[in-house]
Amino acid sequence: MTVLQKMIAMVEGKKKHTDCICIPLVFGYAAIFQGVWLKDYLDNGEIMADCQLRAQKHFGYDAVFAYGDNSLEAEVLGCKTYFPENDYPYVTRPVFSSLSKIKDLPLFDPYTAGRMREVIKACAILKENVKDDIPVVGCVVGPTSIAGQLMGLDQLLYLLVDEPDKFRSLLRQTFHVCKDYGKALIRSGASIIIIMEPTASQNIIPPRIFRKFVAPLLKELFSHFRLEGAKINWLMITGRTKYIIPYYKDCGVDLATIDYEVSLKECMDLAPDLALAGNIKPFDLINLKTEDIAKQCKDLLDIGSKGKGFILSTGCEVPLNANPANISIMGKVVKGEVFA
Amino acid sequence: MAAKKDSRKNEIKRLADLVADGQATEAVRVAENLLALGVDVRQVVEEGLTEALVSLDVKCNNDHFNLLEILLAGRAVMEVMEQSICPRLGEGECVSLDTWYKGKEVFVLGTIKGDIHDLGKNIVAILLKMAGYRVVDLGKDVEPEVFAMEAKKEGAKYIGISSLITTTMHYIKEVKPALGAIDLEGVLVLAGGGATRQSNPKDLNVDFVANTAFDVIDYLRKKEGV
Repeated sequence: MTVLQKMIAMVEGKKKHTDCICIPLVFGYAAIFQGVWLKDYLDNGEIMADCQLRAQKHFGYDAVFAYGDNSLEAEVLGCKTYFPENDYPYVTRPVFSSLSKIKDLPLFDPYTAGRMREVIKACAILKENVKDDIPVVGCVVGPTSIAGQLMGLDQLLYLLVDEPDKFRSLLRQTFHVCKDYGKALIRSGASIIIIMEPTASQNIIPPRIFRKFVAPLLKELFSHFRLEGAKINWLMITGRTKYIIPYYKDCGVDLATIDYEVSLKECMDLAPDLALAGNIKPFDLINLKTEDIAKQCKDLLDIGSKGKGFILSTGCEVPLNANPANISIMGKVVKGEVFA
Repeated sequence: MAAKKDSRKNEIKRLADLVADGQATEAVRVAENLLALGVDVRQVVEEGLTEALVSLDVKCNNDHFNLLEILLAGRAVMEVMEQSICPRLGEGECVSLDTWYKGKEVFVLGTIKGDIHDLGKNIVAILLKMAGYRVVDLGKDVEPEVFAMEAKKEGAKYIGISSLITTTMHYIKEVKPALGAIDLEGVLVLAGGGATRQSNPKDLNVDFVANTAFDVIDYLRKKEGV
């Protein structure tokens, strides 16, 4: 059985946790740990794919990622971004500086637009190399989070309260960005799509707002991705998610990443029909000793084995300055090479 | 007379509830009524606005906390201050919330280099101002050395550093050495934000890591013996 087949069986509830999977969220770290300049990685699909393949081979985890960074969509839509030295870019100027300036977003073609084109290129190269052995995971930023980048989070939240119709209309536009980009990734070889939607976390908006505005869009997006050929719909909302996770299944989510701020056991109880991935604290990969990470992994696997399905992963992206030994140990624990 | 006093007390309580609920327009209306009835400006601020923010402290420390509600409450405070309170104070006494301080210490605040998320920092700024501190807001994407230099220039006792992104956290560690380089070891450094919650003071080379905006105020109260 390939990893993807195991994952599909897991989310369908056909396979219990006898054959563990390990997928730490290694994005830009794939470049940094090999001494590749992050901007080169983010600007060039060939370099991105090469780094992803080498990192996966080195650490032995179970997926590769076609993902740039969380400003990529906003940049394509006209936001000015800044690349700090060997770090991720960030938006320096939103495209909608005030509520009155909201207008239709520019049309774009994901196959030719900015750095999106490079991620799609990376996706195709990854697929060509890994075939069906391990999944190529394409990642898109969710509609609420893109909207937050376009306006600035505070302005977006004011819009939500003051002019909910305009908020909904803006999200409908960013929904299409997410949909078109996700579909392009699937067509280029991604068999799984992660929607990253940090702005929908309970830390930012109350659960009732998630249910009213965000959940319907996620449901529609995952439905599109499924029709396009995605085998697994993966949702990643960082931060606290305890009161929204019970609604994930209705959104079409098969697999959810949970952050370190929530308890795996509690999430399993709250969403028993969902497969979960998580939730090593990213900062611990920098600071903790390898044996402590190993212990955390073992504990998580013990808890996760009692649920519908569990993937050992990080609660959020692996930090750029993580200790490589702490990534390696995750795979070793899963393979039973530690605590045997 | 007692009934009148009770009625005013109820209205002040209503103002606090409206602010906590983020209803800015209605809060301004109630504040205007109170002031028209002759309630002292500072009583409106302390019992209507500050109390509202204190009431959010409880929420901030439980599962139901979210940025949206705190942001809306902050906006309501700002609107009441700017529309109702400041115009009634003497010239130079309160031209904006920035000057509403009572001679307490100076607090230099900013989002660390590489990070442009400033929502949490802005909320902390409001709370600090309401607590009577003079806040020097350096904005976002601030170099570690700039925190130190501004602390020197402003005579600050505290520096607050916000960081949402894990990858920027290593810059926080550089603030203390920058202070040391200009003989300001006594300035206390606080860190807070999404990324720093994963960490502790030793890892970040700071004096305190705040999990919520209100932790900052609690820390200061303890430090100042209030």
